[in-house]
Amino acid sequence: VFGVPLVVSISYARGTIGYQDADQVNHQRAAAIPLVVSKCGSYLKRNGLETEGIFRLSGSTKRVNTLQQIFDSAQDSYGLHHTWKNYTVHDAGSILRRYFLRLPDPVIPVAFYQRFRDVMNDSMYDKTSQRIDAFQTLICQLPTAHQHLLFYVLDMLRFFATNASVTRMDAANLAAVFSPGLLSHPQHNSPVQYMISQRVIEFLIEYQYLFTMDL
Amino acid sequence: MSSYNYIIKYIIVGDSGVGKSCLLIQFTDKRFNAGRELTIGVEFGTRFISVDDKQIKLQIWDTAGQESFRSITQSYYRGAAGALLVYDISRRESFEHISTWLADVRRHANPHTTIVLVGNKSDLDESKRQVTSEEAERFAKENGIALFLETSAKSASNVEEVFVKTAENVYEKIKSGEFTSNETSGIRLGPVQKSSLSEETQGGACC
Repeated sequence: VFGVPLVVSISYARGTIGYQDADQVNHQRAAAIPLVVSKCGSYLKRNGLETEGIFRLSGSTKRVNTLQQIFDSAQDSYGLHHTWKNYTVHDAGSILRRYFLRLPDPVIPVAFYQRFRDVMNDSMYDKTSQRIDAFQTLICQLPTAHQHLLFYVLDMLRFFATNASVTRMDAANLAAVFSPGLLSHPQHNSPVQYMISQRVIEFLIEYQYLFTMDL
Repeated sequence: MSSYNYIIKYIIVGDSGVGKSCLLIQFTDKRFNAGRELTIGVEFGTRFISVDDKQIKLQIWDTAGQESFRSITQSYYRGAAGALLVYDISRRESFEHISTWLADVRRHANPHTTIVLVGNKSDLDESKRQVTSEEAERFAKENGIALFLETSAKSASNVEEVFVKTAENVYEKIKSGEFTSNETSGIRLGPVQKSSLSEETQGGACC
């Protein structure tokens, strides 16, 4: 699972996500995301929403390594029955970030890297609404699995950002933590490059509720 | 103040949230800001101090503790004359990870780098403490770490001491010739030292 392309790992270790539409109709199993992401996401949404420094503080290296083995092992059904007993929310946050970081092609694939950043940098988009439209167009072009995962992550991060008064992790901080796994380039390793990606992710978290995706 | 004898480079490492940036800001600006943002990659600060009547410019590189930023921060280890390994006395895990940070420093920095162990957040109530100073002291001794101090970036307790004592230790090494003034050892002669360039034994430090 770790270090394996997204489309490959979700063929054998996936969780599904559902949603409720404007007419209160429940759509279950609308999309597939990696099992490790759905396990961490549901646990963190239930238990980490009130934790100061969530996603910023690191878990124990030893336990995070054990988690990686569990989510990587066919024998353990890739963590399907993992209960989080004796683990902390910081362990979950760390393993989630590590999963993204190890993806051979990030959640926003390298092929789209520059185009996402251009939307934030280019002066031709000077209004927020223009940026939102431009991002929406790009999001629709992402490979389906990446599009779904990006949506899931942004939805989760926005949920956490609304609780920033307690967690002290606002959209900017969450974006700083997550941008290396969501929007990165193997040749861009300087703080300046990180800043640009961080601003893109922060914007996407902030306006997540305005974007739509095909399910 | 632009006349100084030496520039010494420090690096601060440790888990995310232990207070690395707060220590730096307390030392350079004499203030504490608990709500400060996450460090991305590397930031840096400077301050002048004097040791043994020599003016020293400390150039302090503050790194991001997050695993995600490991690839950028590692390139900044090179050329550090002092390395501060910081943990949070109220978070046991951050102390347990010190051995990983130590291995990182030993792998990437100069072998003569002065390594200092710092237990931060000593202002917290004793009931919150998860690492005793005895244990940390022992760890420092067993691992050949030159110095151990508990600090509080919030109350400023021992902050000055950490940075100054590290500089004193580095300066001792300069005097004894263990450190030579060049890029890889993190010490450079300042502008006023032009006349004593003979002290500079270029190429003396071998890898």
